[in-house]
Amino acid sequence: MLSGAVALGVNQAWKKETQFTPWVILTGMITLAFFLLIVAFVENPFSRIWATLDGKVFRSMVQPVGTFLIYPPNGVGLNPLLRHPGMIVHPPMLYAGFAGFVIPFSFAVASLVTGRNDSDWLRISRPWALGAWTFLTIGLVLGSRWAYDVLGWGGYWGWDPVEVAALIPWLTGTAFIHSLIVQSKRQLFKRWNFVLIILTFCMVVFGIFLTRSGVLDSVHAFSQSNIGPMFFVFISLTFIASLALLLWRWKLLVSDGQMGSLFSKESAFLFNNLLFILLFLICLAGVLFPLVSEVFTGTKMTVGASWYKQTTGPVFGGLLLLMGVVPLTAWGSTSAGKLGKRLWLPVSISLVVPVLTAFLSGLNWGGIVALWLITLAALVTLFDIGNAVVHRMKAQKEGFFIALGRVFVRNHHRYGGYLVHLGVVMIALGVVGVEFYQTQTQQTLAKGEALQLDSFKLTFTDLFQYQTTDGRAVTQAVMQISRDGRLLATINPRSDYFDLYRQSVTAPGRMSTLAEDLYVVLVDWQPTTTSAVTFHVYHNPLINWFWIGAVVMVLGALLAIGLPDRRKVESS
Amino acid sequence: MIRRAFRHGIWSHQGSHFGLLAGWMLLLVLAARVQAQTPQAVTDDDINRIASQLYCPVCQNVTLDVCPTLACDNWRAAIRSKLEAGWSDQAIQDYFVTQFGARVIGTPPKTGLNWLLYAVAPVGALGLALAGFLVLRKKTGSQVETKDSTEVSLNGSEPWREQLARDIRKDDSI
Repeated sequence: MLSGAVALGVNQAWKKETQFTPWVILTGMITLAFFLLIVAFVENPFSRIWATLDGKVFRSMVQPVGTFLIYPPNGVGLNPLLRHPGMIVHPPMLYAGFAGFVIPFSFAVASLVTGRNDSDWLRISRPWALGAWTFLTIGLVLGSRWAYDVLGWGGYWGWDPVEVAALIPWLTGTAFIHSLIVQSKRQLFKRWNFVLIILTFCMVVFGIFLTRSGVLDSVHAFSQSNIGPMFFVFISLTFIASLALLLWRWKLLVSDGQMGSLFSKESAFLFNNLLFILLFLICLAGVLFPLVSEVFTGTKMTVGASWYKQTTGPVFGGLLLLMGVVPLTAWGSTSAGKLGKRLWLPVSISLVVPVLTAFLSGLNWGGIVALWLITLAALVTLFDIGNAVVHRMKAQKEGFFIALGRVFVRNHHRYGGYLVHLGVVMIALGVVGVEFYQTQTQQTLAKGEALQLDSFKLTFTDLFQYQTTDGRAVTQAVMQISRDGRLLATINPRSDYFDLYRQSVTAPGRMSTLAEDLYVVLVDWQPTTTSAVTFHVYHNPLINWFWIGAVVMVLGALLAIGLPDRRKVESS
Repeated sequence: MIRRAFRHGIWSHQGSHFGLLAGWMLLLVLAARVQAQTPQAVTDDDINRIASQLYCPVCQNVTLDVCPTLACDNWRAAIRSKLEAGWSDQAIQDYFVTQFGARVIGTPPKTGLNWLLYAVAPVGALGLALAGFLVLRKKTGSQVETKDSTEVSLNGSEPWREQLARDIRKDDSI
């Protein structure tokens, strides 16, 4: 994957910016060489097992002298927890994202070494950064879906150290994607963009290190190896060398542009970047603190979801607020008065949703504020798209759908970005539903008994146990979900016991609608009589908007990357 | 007075109403005391409320409420027995911290080195706010007059000005 990315990057450098080519080759090859060294000499996936006559065993790809090959009996297969469709795509997507960020970093290094003060490296890097970001997003969302489907705790994100390690480059990468727009438009943030891409690259390597080395306790720690010290050296060298390059060219990288005012679009992008960096610092601290505490106190502290939620919640809120304001600002200068005039209508309309929610669901302040921010961001984005469509319908005498399509295609950078923002709004809706309005209960029921959760009645009607041909002992319950006496669905929460692994995997029963998920986990049962069964039931309002939003986000990102401009190709 | 009571007979027919009432009152008070001392039935939800705040001491970053191991089953049973014995949530959490160390709670206590963790967000926010302020002051300070982007001269000879003008003519891009 990395080889392919580097090859494509070099090809692009050769075609578009020959001055960069040697340095892009060098940076890409050094990165590639590092990973190949690890694969060849430290963690070789192709190594075989060799034994000597006196019983000593070696792992090596080539045959050591005086040994013979051992063929181990069949293994036990893939860890049952990983047998999920999402897991086929999740790791390659994450690694494609990681590999993708190597190319913008290589171009950044090339630009620094060649002493260029222009934005050419950014122009070439933009689709790479967006592509890598898209892959990383798909990887993260698939991981969340896996957690939701398999781990059986009713959630999708546990703030586990390995999850956070994958999120960190996504955060700095998102900041970079926003920041590069400012340099392209206003010739600002030249140094800052180098800082961001260096940080993103280092965090990519850091993320791989955390995932693969096993230095942190994680529910995702499926492997442990001795690659830690090598990664540590590589991250340190890369960071120091990149920083030294940046400092060497510091004076050259003077931003020519000016920021219009506090309320201009470039200022809003600055605030956006500051918030993303704050999130990055929080996540980095959360991941590293267990190691720091172990070094200084001997106790490896746990930094759990509650700490992350407390600290990151307001920052995510700030980002949503910016999403609601930025489309109303302009490049160059917007005065407070002008911004206020544009804002008052969407703000007024957006207040309807939190007020209604307060009446219907009570005063859950966190949820109410979050819903207001979501509504504001959605309204402003939709208003901006609607405005463009109406303008086009009038000017070009086009029908609604044709105008809508052309608005998105003709200015795919901007409206692809808006589509990503709409996806983020939907994701935020799902997050708010779970974080602020989730209810749950755990009860033990006999056949025919029912439990009540919110307005839903769940009746336990039966329990089956059977053996499958692939070595699973399955226990499957039958539950009927009804509301106001009307049967809504019959679900089958399940527990699969894998004999070879001696491990159980839950398969929750779900009733999914756009409004909510009823998520039922089979916790325990009487093995012989199967008469009493314990269920954990979660009511997750709005959760499915999380998954829909993720799809919209990816589509938006693909649109923003776009295809090569046909007119440009023809003219050239 | 006592003698009079005896003479009229507190235990006499006339006084028996008062005695009966007093007896019932006493029974009621006793019943109320017994009820108060009888532990409330502990539900799975009560256990999960506490278990979700505690991390399994021997597993990989899993809270006790969703941990599937036998050890966690036993710890959940321990929580149940302590709740039945009338322990408060905090007392149970403290018990687990004493037994297994502070790593069993997901939110590190605000003591000693842990303050570092709690300082990150406010200190980071202040530092970044200061950085933002400095950038804004530097980058907006030298402008004598602020103009809307549409008012930027399109006749600039520098390449970036021409590029900017082209971009503005095309459309704003977020």
